[in-house]
Amino acid sequence: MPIIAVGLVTLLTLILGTAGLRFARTTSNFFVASRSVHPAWNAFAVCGEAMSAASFLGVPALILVFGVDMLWVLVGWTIGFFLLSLFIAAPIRRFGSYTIPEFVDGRLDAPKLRPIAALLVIVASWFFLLAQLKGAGVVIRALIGTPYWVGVVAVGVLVAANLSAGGMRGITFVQGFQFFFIFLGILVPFAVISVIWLNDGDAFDDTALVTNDYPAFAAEITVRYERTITVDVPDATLVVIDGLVDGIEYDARSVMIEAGTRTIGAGADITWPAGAAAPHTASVDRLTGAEWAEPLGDKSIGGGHPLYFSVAILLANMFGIMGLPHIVSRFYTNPTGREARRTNLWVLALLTPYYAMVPLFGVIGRVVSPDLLGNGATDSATLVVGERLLDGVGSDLVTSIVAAGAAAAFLSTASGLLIAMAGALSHDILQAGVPQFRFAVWLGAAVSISAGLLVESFDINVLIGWSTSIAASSICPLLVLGIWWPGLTRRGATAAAVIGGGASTAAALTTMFGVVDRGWPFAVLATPAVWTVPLAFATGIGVSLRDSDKVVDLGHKMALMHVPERLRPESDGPRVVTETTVGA
Amino acid sequence: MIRRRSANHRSGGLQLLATVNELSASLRRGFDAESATRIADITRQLLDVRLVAITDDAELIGQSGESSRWKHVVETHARAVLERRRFDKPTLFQLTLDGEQVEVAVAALTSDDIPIGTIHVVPTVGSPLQLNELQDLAALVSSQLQLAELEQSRAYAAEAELRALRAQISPHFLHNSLTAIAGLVISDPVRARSLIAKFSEFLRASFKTQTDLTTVSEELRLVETYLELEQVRFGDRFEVALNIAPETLSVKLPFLSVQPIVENAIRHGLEARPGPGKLRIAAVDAGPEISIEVEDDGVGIDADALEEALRGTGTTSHVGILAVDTRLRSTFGPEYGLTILTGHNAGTKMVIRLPKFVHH
Amino acid sequence: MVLVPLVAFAFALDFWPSLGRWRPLGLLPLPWLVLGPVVLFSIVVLAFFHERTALRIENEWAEPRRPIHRSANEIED
Repeated sequence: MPIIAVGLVTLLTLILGTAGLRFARTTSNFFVASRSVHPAWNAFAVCGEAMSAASFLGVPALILVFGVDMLWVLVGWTIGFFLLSLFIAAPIRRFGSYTIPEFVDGRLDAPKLRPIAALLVIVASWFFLLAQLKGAGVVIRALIGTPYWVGVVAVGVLVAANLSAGGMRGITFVQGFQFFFIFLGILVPFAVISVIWLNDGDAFDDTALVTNDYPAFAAEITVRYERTITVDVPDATLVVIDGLVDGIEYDARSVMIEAGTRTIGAGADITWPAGAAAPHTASVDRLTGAEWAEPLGDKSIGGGHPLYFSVAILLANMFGIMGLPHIVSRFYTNPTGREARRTNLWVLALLTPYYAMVPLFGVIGRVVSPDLLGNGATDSATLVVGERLLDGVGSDLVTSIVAAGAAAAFLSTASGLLIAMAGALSHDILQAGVPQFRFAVWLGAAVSISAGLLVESFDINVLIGWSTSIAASSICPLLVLGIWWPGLTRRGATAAAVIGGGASTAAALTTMFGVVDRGWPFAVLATPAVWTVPLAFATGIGVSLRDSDKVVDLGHKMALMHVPERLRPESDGPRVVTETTVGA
Repeated sequence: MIRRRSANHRSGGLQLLATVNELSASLRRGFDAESATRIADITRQLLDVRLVAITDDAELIGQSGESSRWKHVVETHARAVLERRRFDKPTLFQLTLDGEQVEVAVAALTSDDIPIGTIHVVPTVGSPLQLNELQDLAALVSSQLQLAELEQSRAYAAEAELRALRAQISPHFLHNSLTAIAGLVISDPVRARSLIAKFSEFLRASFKTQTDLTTVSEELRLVETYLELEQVRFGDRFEVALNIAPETLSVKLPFLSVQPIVENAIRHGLEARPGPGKLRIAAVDAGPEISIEVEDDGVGIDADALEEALRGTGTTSHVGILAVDTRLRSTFGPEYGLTILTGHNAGTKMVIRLPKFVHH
Repeated sequence: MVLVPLVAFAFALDFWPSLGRWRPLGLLPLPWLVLGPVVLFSIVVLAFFHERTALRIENEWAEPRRPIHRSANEIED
């Protein structure tokens, strides 16, 4: 049944996108289109876009494994949106540009910079898109048991087909609707969990959460290991194995599995008895309940430097949000800068309760689904809550709602990202029209799907982390400096983009290929934002200061961005109208 | 910058070419003090003379050479020459300059045979003036002045045409609306009154010259007002369907880009058709661009007439469409014009594409 | 304004681990509380105040520049 919910959400997306909303009137009672859309929809749309598989699936997974330190991610995002409101939303709307490369080109009179900015957009969006596709693969697999690649390919193709057929034309409405599904997908289980907990305080065994013990299985459970994984079995345990373990094929036999490092083959099913300590992926250190609940300490995250890691995550996500192209483009729908900022405020107000509820799923996962710690499927933590807590119809219902939310999350964000990528390629690099856009959509989808098939072993949020680092180190400085510092020049911007973008991309690639995985080198490369962002800003400022090239019409451009719109009352109440001329 | 060269340094032909270029450059702004001074300087170098003065039709406006208090004399001579009406030869005068007796040759500058100024030349001592040279030079300057004037007229004409295109209220529509309103004044005064208010709103919007660009949302309001006014005449003879994507509303476009298209659809599509018709207006979001489509299921437009209209040689009935196309192309570039799909009795669909962001 | 307290908080937790275990309301440990609802909602509140200030500044800018009210019957030149 949950898969039906997913299908429903998908269908709704497609229909809304292509049909748009039609308003048919006879001449006798007309209808002013400009008043037809309530500004709240803009906020819903941005939320729908912003709430992705990253927050829905990825963050609970992180919290499940690593504990409280991962809350910095959510904090970082929230601060990022706040900073958008302070620094970016209104000025960039007033400037009038739709894409970031357009802004850079218009602000600096630098047509050569446009393809470079477009490339940055593509790279940052690409990693983010990979995360969504991974989410899709995981969700579809969890719901109907198909292999991982089915979800990736199906969703990728679907999104691409939808876009190239002209869907997502009514993007504001489509994403607005998706927001509701996403929000419900988190709210309903949250309510359910709260009700259960309030009714019966002992319903959850909080051993895993606070004591000095490692998580254990509350009841007998059969765990499916979807991909080959090396785990750390804490104690020798009597289990039933159906599949490959340590090279030996077992056929539903009861076996005493020894403590230590074991390799479990893909497709194996192992039944663990109640009370057994849950195995853990070998690549990550296990945490006792107490360790898990406490921040910092001796943990192995960030290559053993949790303080650096926490701060780095905070900064990366903060600045990253300020540079993510698919979010910045959504501001265009607002008529004025003031409304753009106001929309942003509403987005913040809607995101906050959502972000406040999301961690619960990581927490509850530690109690009800510790098996995920060992089978590499942490990203499905949110999904399994329904079936672990309830039975029968209740379980199906909750899982359906959650699945619908997850589907809405990755569909909306994937669509937005693919639009941003294809748009950057066709509009800002090739400077061509609709047919090229379609081509770019399929090209982008093909590359992303291929890569998506390969990223199964990466956590969703690792991919997001790379994306935000790159956006933070290249796009964010361009925007902030371009909007607020008159002294930015073409060369300065190019330098900042190349160095910031290059450094963060290189860092991401080295961690992706596992070149280093311990200690300070790992910490510094896995979360490069702490040094790449200041580097980019410094480069941009430094090069600009020594560059004598000045931007033409600078006063006009700055005024365009920063002078507030005037109010002019019309016959039906005040409306805000811009009276700036487009530099014609 | 006037380069000093001796008369023997370059061949006469090259020198002349260089001179002509400098002259026309100086005259680009028209015949004023600055250009006159330049011309005076050029002349003095070219003819190797002591003093040059230039007047317009009354006053001294430029001179070159040691400054001298001869303004009054120059103006007297200028008046004399201009009144003579014989401009084919320079006139010689005698005058006392700083105690010396000198000769001055004065030639007229004309444009289209109309005198617009004079040029006065005092030769250097010992180097007698070649009157032919002076006359030729005067002729050259005159022709350059004429070209400059023509250039200015052309600019004025283009601007006037643009202004005319801008104030594009169809007289047809004016007449029909006022007639319709007049018809309602007695039978339904309340409605007549509200229609008059809408009509004046419409007029006000069409006269706007503050900025050249308006937003899609404003333009659609205008279209709404227009349709309400037309509805008075047509009643329920046509139905309108709107499909406006909110992402398109803040996009900027030249005003009166959509209303003429809608008007065209009604007049040529639906009016001519027996029975009720459908009009569909859609604003579609397409990423970095949007498109606005106006579709009717009327009689279609005759392809030949349309082609003539688009080339500018047709009847006035399609001139509004031509204006829209021209405005769009001149604002956004040659690839952003108006696209028309039509067929005999197959309706008409007109599409305009607009970029969301315009840079220069 | 927002960053400094947060980073300070992070450093504080590093140096005083017991802070990480403290449960103010007997419900949730401090870090969870802080990094969760407390921070998130306070940011919203901050944003709200910022918006008010921004609007106030904008209106001050808009006021003295041009006459705002025009008679609807005039044709603007």
